[in-house]
Amino acid sequence: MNLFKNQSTARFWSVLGLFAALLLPWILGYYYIQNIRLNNKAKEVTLIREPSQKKQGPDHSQYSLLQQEFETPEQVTEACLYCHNTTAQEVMQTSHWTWSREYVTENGDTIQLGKKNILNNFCIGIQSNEPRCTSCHIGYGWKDDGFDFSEERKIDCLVCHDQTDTYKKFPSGAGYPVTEKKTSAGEEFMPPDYRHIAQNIGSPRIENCGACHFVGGGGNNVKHGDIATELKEVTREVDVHMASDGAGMSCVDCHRTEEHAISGSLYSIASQDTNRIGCSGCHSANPHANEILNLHSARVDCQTCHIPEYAKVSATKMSWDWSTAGKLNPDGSMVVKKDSMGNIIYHSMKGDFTWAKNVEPEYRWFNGIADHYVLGDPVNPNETLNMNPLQGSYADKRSKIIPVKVHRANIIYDVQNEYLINPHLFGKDSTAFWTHFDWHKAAKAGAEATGLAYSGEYGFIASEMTWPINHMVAPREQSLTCIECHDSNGRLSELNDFYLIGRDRHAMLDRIGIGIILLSLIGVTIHSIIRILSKSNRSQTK
Amino acid sequence: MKRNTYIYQAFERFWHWSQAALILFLMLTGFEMHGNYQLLGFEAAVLWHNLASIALIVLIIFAIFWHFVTGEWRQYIPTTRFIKAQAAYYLTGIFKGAPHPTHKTVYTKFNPLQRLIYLGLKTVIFPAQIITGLIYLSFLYPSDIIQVESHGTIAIIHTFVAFLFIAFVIAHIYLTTTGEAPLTSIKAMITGWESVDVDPEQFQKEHSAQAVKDSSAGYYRLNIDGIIEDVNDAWLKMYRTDQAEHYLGKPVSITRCPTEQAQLQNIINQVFKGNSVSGLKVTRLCFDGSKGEHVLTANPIIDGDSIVGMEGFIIDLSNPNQPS
Repeated sequence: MNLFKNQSTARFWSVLGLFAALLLPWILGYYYIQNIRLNNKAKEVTLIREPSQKKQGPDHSQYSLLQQEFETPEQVTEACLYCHNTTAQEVMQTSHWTWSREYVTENGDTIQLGKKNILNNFCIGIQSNEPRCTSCHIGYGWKDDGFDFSEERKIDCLVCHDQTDTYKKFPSGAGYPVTEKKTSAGEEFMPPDYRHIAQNIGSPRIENCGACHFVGGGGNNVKHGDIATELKEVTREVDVHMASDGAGMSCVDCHRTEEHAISGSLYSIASQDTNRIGCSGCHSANPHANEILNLHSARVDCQTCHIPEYAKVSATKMSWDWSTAGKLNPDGSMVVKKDSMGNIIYHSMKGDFTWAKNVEPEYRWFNGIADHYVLGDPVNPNETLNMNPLQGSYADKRSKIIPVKVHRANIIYDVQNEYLINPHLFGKDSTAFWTHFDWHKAAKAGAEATGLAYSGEYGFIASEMTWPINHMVAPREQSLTCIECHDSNGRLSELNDFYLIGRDRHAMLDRIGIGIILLSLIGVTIHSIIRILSKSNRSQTK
Repeated sequence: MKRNTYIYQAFERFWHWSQAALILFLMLTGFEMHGNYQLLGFEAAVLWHNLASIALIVLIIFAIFWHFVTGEWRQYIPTTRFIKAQAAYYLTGIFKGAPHPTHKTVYTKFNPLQRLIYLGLKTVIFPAQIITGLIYLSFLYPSDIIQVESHGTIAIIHTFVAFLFIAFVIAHIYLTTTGEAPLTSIKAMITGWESVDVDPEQFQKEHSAQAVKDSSAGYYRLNIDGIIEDVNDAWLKMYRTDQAEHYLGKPVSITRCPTEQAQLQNIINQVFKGNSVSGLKVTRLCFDGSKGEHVLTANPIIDGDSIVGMEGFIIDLSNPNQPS
């Protein structure tokens, strides 16, 4: 008996040992995975470059030159340049001044292309509409194509360096502030106290950049979707970098500047892959605990996962149908319709709009180079015109997936000549669309201003413009999880020039595979049923 | 003749169950990554899948080593003998209660169909899955050595083979129920012991030898010169030592006091003449100098027509330590 007991005890221990040996690797694996999945756990963000410390500049209120009463803004500029006597040369090199860059066209020509002469699918183009558009130019008096870009005293120093929030350029003033009290769209504009402003200048703050960049397209957050007035005061849910409870950064902390050249040009306008800035300016190349996430950065930009949505506070304009513009009330007044949020959804001057908040970006491959529609380029009215095709594909190893806002619009084109028209919209003259609502006149005047012919027949063509999303980075815990892309209905469902696990499959082989499994299940079931039946038959006959 | 036999070694069982768990787990995580369901979450599924795949590769390297060291790889050499009979058994015989056409022994653990299937598994299915998996990983972790342009085809093959694995597992688990009793095969794979066919003659021989070794009666063997050639553990215990070297190769006379030598010589003479002795009570001289009493048996060892030695058993009468 003793012997038997010993043997069964030994066998028990050997099976237990086997069980323990089987279990051990899984326990080790569990701890390994637990320690790697740090996504939602607080962990310091490692920076390879710290935000710069602000230097206290000289006290400008002490300078006797700035004690005078300034009559015009140009006088302020002259005072600035009296001491900063090489700065004008720096400023005049920048695209903030030139609104123009070198661009290589499809046939290899290098041309000058920029805000100055490019078309977008919002208010189309600035030529013949200068006084309205150039209220965001860092200069004074660009009211038509005769502006002298070499006149130093026309530089507007204050719009970027004002610290008092009292300096404002008038929306249709060709870059000038008002000389007497005026109102525009319900907002009051007062003549600036130049002496007070000049004595208090400083490095640009969010307010300075935002004065133009947050309101591009004619209103808050209209164009970009990811930069808007609210960034002056947001929580980290909206933007971890700019939030007062986040990193508390301002624009120039990332858009660092040397000799007035501000780094970080946006892809939608800048076509060459130069002067870009990105997350890697401050963040290390391998910021994740999970190595597979780090490997993603070879083909996926940080923004793709870390900006799950944009326009988080105010809505952004998603589409614009110019073809319906010009309807007036019976009394001749303009029709203005608003949605429940207060966003204008129809305006006689502009047509129909749609807006959206908390928008999921679309996704594109991008290798850093954007093409552009150049005035005079042919269009195909049967196809949607892409105003700024982003170059890139899966096969192009330099391309990464980036999030974009796509703005879709019906814009005017010359039906017979098959090219876009830069319409004359703004002005008190006899042809401006916003005064007379006559597309023929506006098209003719606008086309002539750009040196193109107008056939006399206009139409509207569907277009889209791509705006890369770079701001409103969400807190870590809100960044995308794998399944949001690795899924057949995921965010990348449109970007299908490559195999993406979880999203893609070979439908036929999958069906065959499932078929094989079903067959083996059926076979096993039938076999076991016959076994059971025949066994009970046999025991009955016994 | 069937005997309970230790048929699956400890490593073999560890390998089998580890591999089973890993494959099931790889299926679970793999098909989650394929988008069939959500269970662990995609990120965790990927981490676990990669971890389990490395574990499986390590395990397989050990298993390959084990197969060659133990010679167990021969179990997988395919054979056409009885392959039709085996197929016929599963298709018809099994329903009629017919006996298995092939017999499981320690030397042929697998029937001809098993051999074929397992060999295919080991030489085609596993390598295909491991190679496509490794190529996939090298796509994720690009190196200078291997650069994968696109992983679509690789992923599709990897997925298809995974379907084949599922089909295999279904059939494999079902066929475990076709043993002696439905759970016999699974029990054997857990404990290592199964009732398998043995050769009766071989079994008899091995069993007798074991019986002598394990007996609590002392066994001894002398050669014709009276030199001790073999003793068992019980014999040594009676002589109060556990070192066989103290006695092996020594003359048998050292087991008696000088006063007992004549009796010993008398017994030896009797046996070498061809007689047997049994039930004789004698006094021994133990290794530590103490004395003890036992009864002995002695009989000649005959090789051909000559006597070459003497052997027998001793049963203790005086050991105060008994029973232990």
